[in-house]
Amino acid sequence: MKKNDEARWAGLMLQAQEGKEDAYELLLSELAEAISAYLRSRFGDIEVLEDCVQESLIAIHQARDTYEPGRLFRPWLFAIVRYKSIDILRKKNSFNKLLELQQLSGDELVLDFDAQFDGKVNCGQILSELSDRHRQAIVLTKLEGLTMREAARYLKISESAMKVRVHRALHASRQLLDAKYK
Amino acid sequence: MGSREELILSLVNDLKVKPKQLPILYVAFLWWVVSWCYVVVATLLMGGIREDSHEHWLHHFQLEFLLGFAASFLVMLAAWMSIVPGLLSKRLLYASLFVFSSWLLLYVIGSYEPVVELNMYDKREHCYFEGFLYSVPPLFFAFFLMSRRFALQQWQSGFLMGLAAGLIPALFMQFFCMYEPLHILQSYVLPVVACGFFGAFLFPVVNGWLAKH
Repeated sequence: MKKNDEARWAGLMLQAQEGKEDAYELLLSELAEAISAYLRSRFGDIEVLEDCVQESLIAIHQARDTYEPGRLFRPWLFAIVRYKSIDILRKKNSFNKLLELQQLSGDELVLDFDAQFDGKVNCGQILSELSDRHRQAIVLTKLEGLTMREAARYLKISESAMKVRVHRALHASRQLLDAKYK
Repeated sequence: MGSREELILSLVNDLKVKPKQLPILYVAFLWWVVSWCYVVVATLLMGGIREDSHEHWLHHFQLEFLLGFAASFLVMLAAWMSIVPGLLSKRLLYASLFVFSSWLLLYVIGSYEPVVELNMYDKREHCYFEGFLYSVPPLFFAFFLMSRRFALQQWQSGFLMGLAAGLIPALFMQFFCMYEPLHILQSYVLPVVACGFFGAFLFPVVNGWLAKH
């Protein structure tokens, strides 16, 4: 079965590199199932499993031209999947630690700041001083009103990474506000 | 339709045919040959070859140079293979670092027990900076070629490429500057390591910039 997959996936990827959309769709669908099964066998039913699968699919899409005909497909595929999954799990851990720290230091500060930020953001001064990544995160979630999931999908990043980005953007904005309105 | 299916459809819609890329090993050898030619010409233009180097070649240079050459080749191979997912095996990575360490060890041993009489004959004025500076253009040329690939661990690829670029002038300096193992360690090998860290720091930055433009 594995040998069949290997040859079929390699063949489908070569067709995808030539621009055949049907082959590419079939390949991505099969890979999504295989990645999902692989991650479940390694990590169990983790809550970020779907994030890992989707991030892996995006990375496969970005790296599709680096697959060379004649080379094994599975080592190429699983190197990407392993790297992306570990990256997401690491970010998830960092985000959890961040939340714990935030809870220890007091939620009120952040919530107060959210209200403060929502009231003053219209002037655009703070936004213009933020970095592109932070500005984008604030605009999508605070002004456009997208949910974290929708914003994450738009930016092609995981939901947990989106939450971290928004948190950092708010923190950077708070520092700017503190400096301006002290 | 679930979010996964939506994602797959959007990726399929984004499918574009890109020009075929050369196999990574072709690119690697092309870079290696061009870099060697550049370093030889640059070093010759900036100062002549040491007159007695051919005498040393007959004695102990062979082992040092051949080991250094092997290290340069293996590190270069590991660096280029690291930018294609799943291509670099741990065996090759460790082998390249082992040969590089062995080459370095030869000079550590040589500094305690020199094989030939030490001399300052044909010492170049700025050999420390020369070695490092000569390795910078090949390094940036490599970054440019590497940016079209997909390095998963960018700092690792940058570090290996920095070592590979730094090793080429370091090997040549054996023929172009004075012979003394401690001098070689300080003035040629140290810049190789510095170039490795330089590459590790710079590659993610350059890669990000090139991806945007």
